[in-house]
Amino acid sequence: MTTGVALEPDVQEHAGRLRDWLSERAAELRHFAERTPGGIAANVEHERALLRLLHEAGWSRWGWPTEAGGFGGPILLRAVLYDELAAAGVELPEAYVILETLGPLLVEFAPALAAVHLPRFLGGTEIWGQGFSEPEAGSDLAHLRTRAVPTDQGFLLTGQKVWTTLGQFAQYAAVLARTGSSDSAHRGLTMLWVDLTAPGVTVRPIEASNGRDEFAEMFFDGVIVPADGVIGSVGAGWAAAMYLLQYERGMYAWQRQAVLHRRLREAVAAATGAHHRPSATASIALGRALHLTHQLRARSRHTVSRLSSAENPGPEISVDKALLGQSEQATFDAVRLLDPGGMLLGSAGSDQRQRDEWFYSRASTIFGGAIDVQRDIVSERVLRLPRSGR
Amino acid sequence: MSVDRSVITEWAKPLLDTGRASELVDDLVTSGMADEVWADPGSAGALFELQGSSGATSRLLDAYVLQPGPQSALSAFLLPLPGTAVPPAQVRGREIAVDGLTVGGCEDAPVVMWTDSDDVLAMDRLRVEGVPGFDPELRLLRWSGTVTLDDCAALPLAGDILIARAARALAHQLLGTASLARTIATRHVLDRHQFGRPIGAFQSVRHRLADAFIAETGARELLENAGEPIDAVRERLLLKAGAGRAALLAVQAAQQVCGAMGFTAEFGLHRVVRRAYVLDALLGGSEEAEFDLAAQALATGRVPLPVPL
Repeated sequence: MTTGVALEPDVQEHAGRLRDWLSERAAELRHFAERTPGGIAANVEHERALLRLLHEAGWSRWGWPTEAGGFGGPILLRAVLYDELAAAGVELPEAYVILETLGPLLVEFAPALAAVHLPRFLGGTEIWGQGFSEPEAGSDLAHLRTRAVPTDQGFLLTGQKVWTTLGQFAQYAAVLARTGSSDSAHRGLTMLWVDLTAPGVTVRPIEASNGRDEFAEMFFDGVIVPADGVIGSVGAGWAAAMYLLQYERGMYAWQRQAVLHRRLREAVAAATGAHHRPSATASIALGRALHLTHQLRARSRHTVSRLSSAENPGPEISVDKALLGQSEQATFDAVRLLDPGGMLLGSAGSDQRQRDEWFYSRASTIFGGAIDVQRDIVSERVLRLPRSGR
Repeated sequence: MSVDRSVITEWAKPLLDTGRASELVDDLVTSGMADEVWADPGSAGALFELQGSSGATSRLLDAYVLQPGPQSALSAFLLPLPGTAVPPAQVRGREIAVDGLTVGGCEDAPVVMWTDSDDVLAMDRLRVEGVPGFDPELRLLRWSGTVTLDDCAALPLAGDILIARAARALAHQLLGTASLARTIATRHVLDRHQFGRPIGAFQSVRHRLADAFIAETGARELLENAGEPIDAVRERLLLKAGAGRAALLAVQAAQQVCGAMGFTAEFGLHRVVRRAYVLDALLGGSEEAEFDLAAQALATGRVPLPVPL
């Protein structure tokens, strides 16, 4: 009773050509099989080289509109790239996560900005940051306080943003700020494109529990944002943020399932070659991880094809985000139990990475909308249960 | 060749809802419509989901697994005992030891079984007894005994295809069972007021039902989009793991949020609970399925990707 999702033949063909290219260039790509040691700054430079390579060869341009420096074609072509890179044992650049959240936003709401900045991002010369969360506005994003006051030149931006991935390396940020009255909640928000080299901007890295500077905080002290820096329109920032969240939940989940499958593949291969048999606990954890990660792939495959045909997945996309968090945690728990020595005692680069990723997986049910919020969305907007007093 | 799925479900739903599931199976087989329905994965799946969500019992599984022509009698398909997927017929020289179950209760039907040597045999001389057990309404029959190969007719059917069909049928019915449990629970938490509001407004209650929905959706996506199976064992494991887990999570959540009312016979939730546990255990339960997925990966050193892009 398989229905399957039939792919247009040209997407299949595209995937085949990409696979050929990846195997022709296998020797060169081996350099990108792993993150580079030496902290996140070194790795950002390492990834830039891969971004450049994929841009020059054209592969990362497919699925983006020609007006924004792409080669056009369905969004599915981007999904193909992430899947095939992971399958070929290439580490997906962290920058692609940002690309898949802010890229669609610019393309949809600020084509002029997309035309200038997307080619730079794809080519590895520019990084962007996402300025949504604030110290006092996490899950309750609509109550953010960063203010953008209209002036003759545009806006004067004042406030603080936090948890910006790669923020310390970014040249620009998409910042969600309040342009309405302080009690306007989600109605009085505007999305702004902010030059992080402008006077009044301070960006500081934050060391995460895994020891890496995974994200940054950004301070805006009377920063001038020109009028053409509005993404979408004034007062319509919430709609822009919700649009972006579909990609952050859909395409990001797709990228991660590709990576998680690779991690499971490598953990299984290592356990098969090891002298000792995996414990029963490790087998149980592995089974759960395989199962959930397979479900995540099926689910996000469906969502990505809906995005690709310009369908709005609606509130049910919270399912993708919840499955993502569950798969992340199940996967890195399985990896931990299959290799307890490496995780707890090892000093090799791969052991350090395992620890980094295990810690990061704990955050996967927090960032981008905590799983608890996803459950609220599902119960209110899908199951139609009454609004709760929490 | 293709059938209209909504026509099929509109026709089937009232029959299933009013306890006329057997009529549905008879009509399906004798009308010659069955071939068209089975050829469309969505329609076949929808029928089993409906059977699950209406809590009905029938011989739909026999009809789908064996797919007899309109003129042929409907045999019964023998499943292994609960908790295992070992073939119910074990060949020892000329002798065959049989022990298995059929669903939907038809004591005079010939039995079709698959053996550990990968044959499919028809047989009508087995001991049969009703096994009401945990879910009497499922009308399980246990067929057992030792027969010789000469007593059996070999059928030109592939055992792994029959098992994959049975696993798909059970998986769809389990998803229907999950949604039935969720529907009952949702209705209850909207009606039941405590502390001055419907209990469905409490986050702890809502989140359990949301989790059940999330598991059900993940399982459904895998069921519908798994792609061409690499092997029959893996296909069965993927199908049973997701749908079984979804059904168990749903009935567990329902039992909790329906509180003491859900514990009464009058409320009726117990029938759905029993159904979920028995269907989950047929062809191996979801937890064993997950464990076996891991064992398969560790034995081969490989993690195949489901769902082709």
